[in-house]
Amino acid sequence: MNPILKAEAISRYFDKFRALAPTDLTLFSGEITVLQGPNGAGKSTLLQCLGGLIRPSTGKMTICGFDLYQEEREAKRHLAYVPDVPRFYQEMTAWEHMQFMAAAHNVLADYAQRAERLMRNFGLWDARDLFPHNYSRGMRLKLGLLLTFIRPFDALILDEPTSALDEDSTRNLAEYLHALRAEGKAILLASHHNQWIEQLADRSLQIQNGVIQAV
Amino acid sequence: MRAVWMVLSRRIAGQFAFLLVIAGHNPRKDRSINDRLYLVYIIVFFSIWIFSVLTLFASWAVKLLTLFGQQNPAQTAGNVMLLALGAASAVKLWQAASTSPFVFSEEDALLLCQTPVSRRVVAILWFFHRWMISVLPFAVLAIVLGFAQVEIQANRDLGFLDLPLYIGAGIKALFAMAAAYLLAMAFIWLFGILRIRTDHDIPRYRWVAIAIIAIFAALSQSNSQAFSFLLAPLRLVLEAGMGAGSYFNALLLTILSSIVVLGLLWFFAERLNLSRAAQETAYVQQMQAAVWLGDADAMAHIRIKRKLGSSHAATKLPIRAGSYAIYWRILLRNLRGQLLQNVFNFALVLMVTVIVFMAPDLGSLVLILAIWVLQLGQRAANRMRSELKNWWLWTQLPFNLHQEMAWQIFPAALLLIVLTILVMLLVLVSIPPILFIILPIAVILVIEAGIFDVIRGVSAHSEMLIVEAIPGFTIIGTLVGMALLILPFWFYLQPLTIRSYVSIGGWGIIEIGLMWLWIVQLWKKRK
Repeated sequence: MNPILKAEAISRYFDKFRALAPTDLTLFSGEITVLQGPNGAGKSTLLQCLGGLIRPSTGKMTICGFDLYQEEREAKRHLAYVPDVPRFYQEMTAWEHMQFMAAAHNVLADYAQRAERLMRNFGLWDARDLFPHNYSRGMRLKLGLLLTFIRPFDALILDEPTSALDEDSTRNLAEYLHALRAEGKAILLASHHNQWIEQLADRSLQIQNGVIQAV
Repeated sequence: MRAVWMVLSRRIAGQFAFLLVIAGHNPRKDRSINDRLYLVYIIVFFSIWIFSVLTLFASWAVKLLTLFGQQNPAQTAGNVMLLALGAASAVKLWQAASTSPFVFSEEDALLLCQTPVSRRVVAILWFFHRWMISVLPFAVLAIVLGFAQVEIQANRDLGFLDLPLYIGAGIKALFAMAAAYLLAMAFIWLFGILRIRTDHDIPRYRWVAIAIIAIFAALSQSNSQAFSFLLAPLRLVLEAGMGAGSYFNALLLTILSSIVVLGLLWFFAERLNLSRAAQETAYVQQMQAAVWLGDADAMAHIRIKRKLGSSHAATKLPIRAGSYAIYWRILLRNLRGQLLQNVFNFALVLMVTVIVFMAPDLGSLVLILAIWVLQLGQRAANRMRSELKNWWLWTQLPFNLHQEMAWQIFPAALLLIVLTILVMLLVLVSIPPILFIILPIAVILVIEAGIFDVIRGVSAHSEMLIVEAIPGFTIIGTLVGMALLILPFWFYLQPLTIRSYVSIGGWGIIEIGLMWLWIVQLWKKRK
């Protein structure tokens, strides 16, 4: 298995509070890694550091060999992250978000068919012309996932992707993740959904007080 | 009664405490003697300050009243107040025909609307709470006009010993306006309450409002007895408040009229539909909360959300793959968002840009340049803030800061430059060729200063991006913008030679390049 995302000695401090101890982590292609831990253990901080949303206080991160901060554009082509409550542009509808993301990632060819298929599969087709601020939390999460699935990537990071999804959507998402694993994507997700974790995880990590341990 | 009063009194206490905290005194924490002395100091300071401002306005009002109401300044002042009250009442009556005059927060909706509290008590308490707040601008107008009457009647220079005269006239005018406003507002709320007693709309209720407004407007144009009779409780007290007529009789008439209308309000409020009122006023309540906190971002967000509605057909704006998508997003967001305000802001910047190059002397030029940097820098900073606020989406795009900046700077700068040149051609017919060099350089440098200021704030605390707390344009951005303009404008003000063109162009390009690299380095090294 190829290493896709490599984090070396990344840590994060908020003033003097250590949210994440220096951590080494590698995500491999074709592997789903699940991160578990109690509330406040540092899961979201780790995922946000890996996803490029928060800069680690120390350490270095590469995605497919590109430094996330020095080779930002190249690294971001390969890295996708979906938070538990995604936020969207206020003035753009769900469909326009999909269109924009496809254009930005240079995959406009047949995007309409792909977007329609994805939106139908996740039950957002009828709500495609709505502004996302009118969406429920579950719908926002689905749109966040779809904005990722419409574009190419090699590493996918998901923060509690089932927290607002109904049973059918959770099953649907699991199928997508299986397919992505088969395509060789590296996936890291945080979840409290035990049954789901057992079904998906190739590797489990436990985090406690900002310190990560393999299970 | 007690439950409703508890909810309202806590809110009033919270609002009062908020104002004191802004002034530097926290009533929940500051209990020492020093803190109390400071509170006394605040009260004395603001009393003197407010009094000074009101007397300043009064001196302007004296000039206007003596200009337009030479015959009878007191009656003119009364008419001014009546006109202001009438115009505001017409707008509020129109609003009350479609939206509840009662504004409830989400908490109110939960605490009051779903519980069997007395609707009458809610109606009366909410009415007086709103009256106390919304009377303030009218109270200021009344006091100013009252002070003006003192100055007109004295016909001499007034000093500190004349303070009781001012206070007496101010209180008299204030009570008159407060009573008149009470009556007008009670009538409007009664009109509003009749509509929201049921779940159903009363057909053509807006037409009823129009009819009432039209009747008053038509009668005001005639000297009919009916008009005098209908408006007597308002007109007499306002004129008396300015010293024309019997004050106590007029005040008594207005108060008695108000009691009658408030009695009707009490009577009809029994079936007041609080849930409906809460639903109708969700927007107004959110807006009031944002205004109260001075949160311009929240105000814009709420306004855009209301404007957009729930859905929109997909845009026909052509999109292309690659970094052009950034510009597509900028265009779409501007067209869909506060378009009128964006156009107005752009027109304002354009106007100041033109004025910069028409400044008659160095002093004026520096002043206009400072205003220009503030205006243009702030627009550039706001645009960058607006994009960074969607931080998660920003991180999902395969673009770097170079691309984002290029699409934010160049199309807007090009439009501003072209329009500035067109406007100058219209005004001056011919324009000096040096303008074609200095204008693009100055525009780009100031936009860079705006972006720099935002990136500077973010780079020190990148965790702010997660919570969407993006700093705005500050005095540092303004100073940087001004500093960047020193060299190009220094050469611009020298006798123009071929060297001036080369110097302005050369230094300008070097400054643009260095500033660009500085911003990108700040971004890369964000903590």
